[in-house]
Amino acid sequence: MTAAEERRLLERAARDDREALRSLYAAYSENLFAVAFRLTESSADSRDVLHDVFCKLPEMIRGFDHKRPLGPWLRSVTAHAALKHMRSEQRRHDLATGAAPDDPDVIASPESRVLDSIAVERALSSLPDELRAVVALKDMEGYSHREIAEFLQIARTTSEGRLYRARKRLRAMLFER
Amino acid sequence: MDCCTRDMHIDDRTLNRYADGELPPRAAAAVRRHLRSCAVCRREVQQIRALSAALRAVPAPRPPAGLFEEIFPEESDSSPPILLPETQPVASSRRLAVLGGACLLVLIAAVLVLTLGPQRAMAGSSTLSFNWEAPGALTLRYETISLLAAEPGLRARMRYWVPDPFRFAQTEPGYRVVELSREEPGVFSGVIALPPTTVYAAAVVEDLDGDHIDSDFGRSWEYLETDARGQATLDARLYQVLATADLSPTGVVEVTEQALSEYPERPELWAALLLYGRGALPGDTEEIRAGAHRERLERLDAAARRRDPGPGEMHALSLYARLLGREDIEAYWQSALTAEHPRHEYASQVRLESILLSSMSHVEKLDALDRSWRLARMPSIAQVGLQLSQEAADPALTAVWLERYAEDPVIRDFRLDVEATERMAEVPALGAIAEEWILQQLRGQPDWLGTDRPLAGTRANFEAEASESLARLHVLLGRLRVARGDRTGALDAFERAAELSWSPRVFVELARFHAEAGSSARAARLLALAQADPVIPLEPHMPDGEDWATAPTETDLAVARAAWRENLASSLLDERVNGSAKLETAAGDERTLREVAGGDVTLIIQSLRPSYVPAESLDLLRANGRELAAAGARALLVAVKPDSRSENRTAAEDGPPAITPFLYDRRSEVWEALGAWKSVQYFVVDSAGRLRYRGETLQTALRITIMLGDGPLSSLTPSEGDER
Repeated sequence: MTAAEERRLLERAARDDREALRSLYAAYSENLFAVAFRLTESSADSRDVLHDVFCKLPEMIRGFDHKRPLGPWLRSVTAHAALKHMRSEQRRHDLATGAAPDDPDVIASPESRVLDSIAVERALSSLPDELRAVVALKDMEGYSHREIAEFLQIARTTSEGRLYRARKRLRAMLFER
Repeated sequence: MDCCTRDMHIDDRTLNRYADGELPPRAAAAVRRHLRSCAVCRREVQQIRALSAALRAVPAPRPPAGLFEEIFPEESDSSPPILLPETQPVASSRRLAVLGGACLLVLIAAVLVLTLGPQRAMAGSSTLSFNWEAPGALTLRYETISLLAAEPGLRARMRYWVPDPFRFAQTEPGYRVVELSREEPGVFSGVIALPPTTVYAAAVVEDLDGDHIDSDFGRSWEYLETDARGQATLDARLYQVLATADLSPTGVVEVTEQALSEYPERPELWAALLLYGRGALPGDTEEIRAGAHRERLERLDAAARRRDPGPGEMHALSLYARLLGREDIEAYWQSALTAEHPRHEYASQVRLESILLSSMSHVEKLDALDRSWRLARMPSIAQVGLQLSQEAADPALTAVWLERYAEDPVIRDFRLDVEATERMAEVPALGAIAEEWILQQLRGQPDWLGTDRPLAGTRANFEAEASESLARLHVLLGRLRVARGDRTGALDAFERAAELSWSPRVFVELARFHAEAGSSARAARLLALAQADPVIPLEPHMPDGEDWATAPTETDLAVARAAWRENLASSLLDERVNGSAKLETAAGDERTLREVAGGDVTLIIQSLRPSYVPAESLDLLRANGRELAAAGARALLVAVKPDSRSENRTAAEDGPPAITPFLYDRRSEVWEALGAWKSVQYFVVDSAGRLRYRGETLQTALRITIMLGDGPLSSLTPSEGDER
């Protein structure tokens, strides 16, 4: 899609044109669903997030600076929505039952350095939200600490600290038996 | 300076930044040099990179089919009446509604059991009974056969809520805590005072960490105000719904339905049912429910317009309307609420929500927040205002919002305060305000624990944490003063930080300051102090190949080591420990504590279960395995019982030989012998079998262990309390 085509598409979408919205959905929904899923770790929550993002899209496009690239902007909007969703969910971790996040099944043998995705996913989902969000944004989505700090409204150093803590835990789960 | 000496490794943060390509070239080169000769750090970097690659490769599922149609239904599609108009989808409405009520829900915990008749509740393995001793004074007795709670060393507290009609459980002071006395293992009792105005109170039993004691999460007690007929009042039911909502969507439906059977025409309850129970009602299709709900909404709306509902009901009507997509009704009651009760908390919430969700600029949002603040001074508005003004780097606005934020201690705690300070200190334009604010905090030294939390143990933890936080504030203050050229003031701040926290981080900060002032000998002595820490390597605090540092001399290092020993010696305990307390190996063999310690200086990590020991602690232990062995000391991992699932926290098996595999303290004999009271604690027992440290800081425990292993600490004198 050329820049001019994209611009026209956005103008139509801003006027609630269903077909234009469908084109945007077709082009970006998969990618945005992945962003939401990496943060929320839940298909149902990601569905809610996408629902929210696309519902507000016409209105948001009206305030969109067309000089900015569309994809990264949409990803950032989605990440914001997903983080908001996570906050509102107020998840709790059952410490009392000793429901240890570590599941022996996720642990790769020390010999095998090839980490299989299922093990990584499960290890990832055992992290508390605040740590997982930073890993997802940094390692999976490629945001900088400055951007993550803005997303999460924390200090940049806090973002760094959380990333290292999260990686340390993941490494302990995935590499150390 | 060189990034490592023998047995020293580059810190995690630097390795991570290196692996991410975020180090400046000179520092990266220094790390590369180190990696050539250090297999441990090389492995770390390989792992970090392998992990990042694996994370990128994790596939994400695709969006479900039909989602687009659900979001943007065809105009002609009239089938699902529950679908809301395009601008107000079901999902986002629910979320908004949750957000709307969020500040009421933040800290409310489990409430499942309701007993009004026979005053005794029972769940799983425990019972809780209560009696009115006098009006307003309840005695509680909690008995459990839960193995965890029955451990002799465990103390328990009851946390309960007495709702404030205006700010129910919004923040920690919304609940109160009473420590229960332990009559015998597994039996606790206590008295709680309920003010005469109490309409609802709920309690959970938890250990001093705030973890629920029973494995059944919902263990609780609750009180509901009743009217003359013995029926729970509407207020009591509403609080009950809010409190239950936090734990269990199934539980809340049940509680709401019970309330609805008593108060069938209350929009608050219908909104709650819709909010929490969507899809949870058996035999109810979305369609039928939506139809019935919409009819009811219209009826309740019409009835309310004919009379004069209170702010709670108005808010509930707008919420119910929002959930059903009736924007017209929602808008009507929102504007009625903000017009008729502009200072009410609900009106304030409505305004805050609309400001945050709007597409206004930062400045416009701050303006709107300001107007809202002038109407009702809600702490949540001040908190948002402070963040937005900090982000805008506007000193005048930040000062205003900071004052408003500081006005209300209810939503603040030390952590929030320090974070807000760090955010400000990072922005040069806010330096002066940050400095003033730090001084204010240091002057006030607020007691965040408050009188509602009179628990000695909690207080001790808090004070250790507070001292670290205060050191952080002093370091920030020092930096700010350096930035504006006040070197005398900066020195004072850094030195206070060093008094509060003996850590390489602070020493390096102080050393850098002296080096920049041309006092290289002093800087070297401070670097020696940082370097002489037996536990934390120097590198994390000497990043980017800093070239201001003069390497300390051997004499500097010897003096520094002596200073550390003296510092540690001043805090040593000297208590007798019962060395005959028994432990079991995983295979079930019994051994006494004395046998296991084998006459060496012994660091004991005592926890309820292996998985309770934080990964960071095991990492720190592993990283110091060689130092422990060199000092002839050993580390003992002791858990009261194994993890419920098959255990995978076996730091010991692959760790250095000085660290033993977990041993089990099934009868809590060692727990009692050491005077443990927390789910994870650290102890040091010397070679004569005396307890020298009991606390929650592994770093300190390790320092003491290693130094005691190296020889008696010079200034050690037996302290007053020989016996506990």
